[in-house]
Amino acid sequence: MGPVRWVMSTARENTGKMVVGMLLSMLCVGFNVIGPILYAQIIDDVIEGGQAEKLMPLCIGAIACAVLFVICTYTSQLLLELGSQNTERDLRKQLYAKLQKMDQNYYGANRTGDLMMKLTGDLDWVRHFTIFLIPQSITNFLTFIATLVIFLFYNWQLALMALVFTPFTVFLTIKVRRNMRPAHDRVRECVSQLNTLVQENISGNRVVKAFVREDYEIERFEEKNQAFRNASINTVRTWQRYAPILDGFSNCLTVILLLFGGIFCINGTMTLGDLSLFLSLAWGLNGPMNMIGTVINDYQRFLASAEKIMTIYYAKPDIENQAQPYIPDSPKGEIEFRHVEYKYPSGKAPVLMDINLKAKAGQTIGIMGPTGCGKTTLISLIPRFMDVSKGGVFIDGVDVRKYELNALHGIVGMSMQDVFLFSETIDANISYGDPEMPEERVIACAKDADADGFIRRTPDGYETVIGERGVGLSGGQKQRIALARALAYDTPILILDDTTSAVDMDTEAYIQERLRARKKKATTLIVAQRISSVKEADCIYILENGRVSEYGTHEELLKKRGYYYSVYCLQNGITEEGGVN
Amino acid sequence: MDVRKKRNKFNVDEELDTPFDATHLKRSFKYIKRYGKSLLFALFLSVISTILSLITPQFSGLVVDEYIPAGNVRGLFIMAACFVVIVALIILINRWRVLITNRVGQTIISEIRRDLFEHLQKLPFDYYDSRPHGKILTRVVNYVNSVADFLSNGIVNIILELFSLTAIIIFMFITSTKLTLLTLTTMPIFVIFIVLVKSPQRRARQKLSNKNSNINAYLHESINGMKVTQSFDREAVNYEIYSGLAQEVRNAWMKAVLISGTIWPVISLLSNTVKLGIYYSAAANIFADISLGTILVFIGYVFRFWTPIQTLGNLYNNLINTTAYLERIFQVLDEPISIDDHEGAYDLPQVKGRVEFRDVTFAYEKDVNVLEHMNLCAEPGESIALVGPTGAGKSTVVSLLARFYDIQEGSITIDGHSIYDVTISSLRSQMGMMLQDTFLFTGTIMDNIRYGRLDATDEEVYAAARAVHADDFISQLPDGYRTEVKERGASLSAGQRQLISFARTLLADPRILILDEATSAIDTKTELLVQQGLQALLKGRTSFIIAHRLSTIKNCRILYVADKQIVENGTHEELLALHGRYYELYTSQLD
Repeated sequence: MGPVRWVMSTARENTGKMVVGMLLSMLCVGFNVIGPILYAQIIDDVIEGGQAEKLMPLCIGAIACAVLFVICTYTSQLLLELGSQNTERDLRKQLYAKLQKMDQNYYGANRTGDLMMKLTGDLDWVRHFTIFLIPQSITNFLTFIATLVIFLFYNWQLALMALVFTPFTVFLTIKVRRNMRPAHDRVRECVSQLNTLVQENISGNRVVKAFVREDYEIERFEEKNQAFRNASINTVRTWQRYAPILDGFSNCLTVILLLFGGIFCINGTMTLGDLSLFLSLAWGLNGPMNMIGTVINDYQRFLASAEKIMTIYYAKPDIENQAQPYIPDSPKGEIEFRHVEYKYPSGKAPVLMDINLKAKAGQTIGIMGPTGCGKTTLISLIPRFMDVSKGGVFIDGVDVRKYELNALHGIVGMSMQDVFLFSETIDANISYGDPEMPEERVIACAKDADADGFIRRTPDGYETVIGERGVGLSGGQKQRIALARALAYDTPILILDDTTSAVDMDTEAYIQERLRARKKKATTLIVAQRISSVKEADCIYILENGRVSEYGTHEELLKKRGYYYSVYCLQNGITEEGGVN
Repeated sequence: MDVRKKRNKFNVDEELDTPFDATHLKRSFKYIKRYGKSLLFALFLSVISTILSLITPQFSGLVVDEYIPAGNVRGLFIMAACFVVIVALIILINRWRVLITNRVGQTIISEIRRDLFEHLQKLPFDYYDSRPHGKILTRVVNYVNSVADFLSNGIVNIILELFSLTAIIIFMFITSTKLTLLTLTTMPIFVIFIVLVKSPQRRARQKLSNKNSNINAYLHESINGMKVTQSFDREAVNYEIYSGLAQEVRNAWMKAVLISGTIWPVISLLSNTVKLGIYYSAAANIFADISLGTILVFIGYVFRFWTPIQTLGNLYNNLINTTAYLERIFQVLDEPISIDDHEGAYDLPQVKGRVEFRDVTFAYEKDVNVLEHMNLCAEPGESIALVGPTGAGKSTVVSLLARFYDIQEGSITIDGHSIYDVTISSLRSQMGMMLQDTFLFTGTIMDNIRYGRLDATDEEVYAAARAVHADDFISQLPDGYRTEVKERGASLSAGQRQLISFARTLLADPRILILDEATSAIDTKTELLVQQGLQALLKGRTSFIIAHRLSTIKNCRILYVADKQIVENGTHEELLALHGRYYELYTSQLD
């Protein structure tokens, strides 16, 4: 589907309004022509002809014309705007819904600044297309045809002469189409790069300041800023190679009419009255001919944007529901990994190999291992942020790939390593999974995550608005709100990815105790670096180089004297032989 | 001192309470002035082309009235030639003008954008923390683009149209004073209409820019938080919110055009009324002394009289839109740089490393003190560990040292220099901060480490990476140091990101090193290796370390932060012997 058809298919519901709007705008042209005719009659019949009784009717007619013209213009403009705005709104919604379906691979490959660009600046060109380009093309085309028919009817020889420049105009239009597109693409690319750079600069403002890199950032910005400026100037310059010629052609139409019309009049093949009609209607031909260049140029700009937006529309998530997805009735939360292997799409070697892991409903499983060993990858396979390359992950005996995605996300609650909080109230953040959640539940979960205390100490308590990504809170506070949010979601499976790394030990111990005391115990997977976080787990898995190197309970692992034991010793200041350091 | 303002959310309009005035436009003249000559020249070109275009209608009259009745074919050809020449001239002049105004317009907005960006770099954390980032982004890119056309073409056109309006009125007076006065009677109506419509129109435009800003902010956060949204199965709720915002934008837009769309019809109605009035008066013989010829000529002028007013009406709409955007842009530029070099600030000399906090009181939010009368002293080369419960203010202490926030009371000195007397860049550039939130930029790993010191050689980058044991995993990546980091480092694990950001800090070769949870996501064994490597590097540098795993800080002097102060101070052994809060904390960590 091309961009035009795509926009039109979304605009379908509003075509009625837009067609009526265009019809009205053509009606306006009619009123605009009748007005002068009535004035001419006042001169001819009343002033010259002395028929005083005709004055009032003619005046009333002229007023009626003027009023109708105004009403039609206004209504048609509003109808067109309404159609265009509704279409833009519907497109926005469509694109947003699509973005929500995209998986993490997509967000890894597409930068926020660029996605923003598509839904802001690019979308504005679609609006321009619906409010300006479509009505202009149609009305201009019809005006051109209508004028041509009248011309042919009155004097076909002169009409044909008036068309002498048309082939050149068409030829130039084709050139405009071909040559403007790269210029517009370049401008669009420059805006997008600028957007991305500014976006990243704003997000990373803390790092910029910490390293005193303001000047460096300004330098990088200025480079993109200038590139954008130059691309914009260049576009107009390219356009100005064609625009004047097109403009010239349309102006020369009048010259042709005057010259040959004059000759015809002298020859007697044409009356003076006909010539003045031709002259007064010349705008009907040269207007559209002048406009065609602008329309084609803007259309190229629209295409540059629309094609980018359509990449979102056509994007296909790698992770999708299978046909007839499985929706469980009452999930218990048993997890099993069977011979799981995972390889990044771009990577050569797998990051996870032959992982076998089992958690019975309600059990707590600990996962530890060196930096970059694949812990986060492993847990990401459960809610299908990624799909296994080999083997399978099963919940209650059913492969997660068979689950309906929303249902799956309803089973697996997560508190992620990269805490992301929304610039909302604390209350809205905790009740993120269910905005209707009663306040008591929010508070209860905050208590379980040991967040209630500090939340109450903030000036507005649960109504305190936190900044984007939770700025204004300490790392530990952010983690605890994220934990409360995951607890409030109340799922049979709970994944805690390094959730308490920024929390002190006392708090951690308290949180663990609260978690154990919860009535409905979720199957819990805890990824951590600290022994204290996983010590109480029913089973602890150690991941090393993408494989499970050892597993067992705390005591069992200590006896094994492997990785776990050595980490235990390091964290407790014990030398591996057994004495206190 | 600066008190934190209420944070803005995506669905809250950022109200502006300044009344409409020309100040914003006047301020933008600062940018326009630099190109005054070019714009004047463009104006001159426009005047010429306008005069030339006034000639062309004469040709039709000449042909119809003289050449055809006279059968003058030669005259026709001469006329055609002249016509073509004039058209060509007009077109060339217009092209010239467009190229000039376009260049000026694009240059002006690139300058405004640059000033905005520069100013943003100077704004404190507070500014970024208190509003959704999408709103800031919209201003720098989208709004600035929106004012481009008006600041170049718009200005030239306004002057041009005013010029032609004056000329026409003069011609009208010469032709007939009475008819001119009749025509001008409609002007008060038009003026009253404009005055009436002005403030609702401006409000509608402001509202629209607010609604746009809101939806962008929401979109921005939606994209960044998509993983959370998906995992909490919240897509349907967010879709509803976004749809609501899209509807608000649409409504605001429709309201704006509902108002601005009236200007043109009103002009057209007035213009027709005047025309009719003239015809009527002629027909009813009200002005007996005015000939039909005069009336016809005059009607021609009336038509020309309303054209510039129409154009001015459109320009007026643009002006209102532009001011709505300029307000937002200048609002950012007016945002005070609350943390700036004080007058007479000097460069902090090479730091030896004596850091002293004396009687420091600090609050992010008014009356909610995070620190109260806190004292701290670090000798050159000393390693200080800050421990204590979460939210006790450990990160705050180090943020204050780097002057990310200004304190309310007390003093902070480095080698006896108050950090308020020295330039911020000389202060921060001697400090290496490894922040809790490890932010990586898109670009290669190499670029990211080099961010610490831009002129570092490849060898130095490798050395820094080796010192923090990041080299091991980096060299195992398919592209090694040339591996592209995705947005926010999404392709790396949290521990790996910390190691890279650690290397970045070390490369900066700071005199004072601040490690805020620098190794929280790194496994204990790697952490130990990193620490061993660090020992050598820390020599001679004062360092502040915040960590929850106490095993990592045993060689430091330990300060226990709680109750808005430092409550315990001493070596690991000393504090254990004290049997105080540190002792409690330490023993709770042992199994």
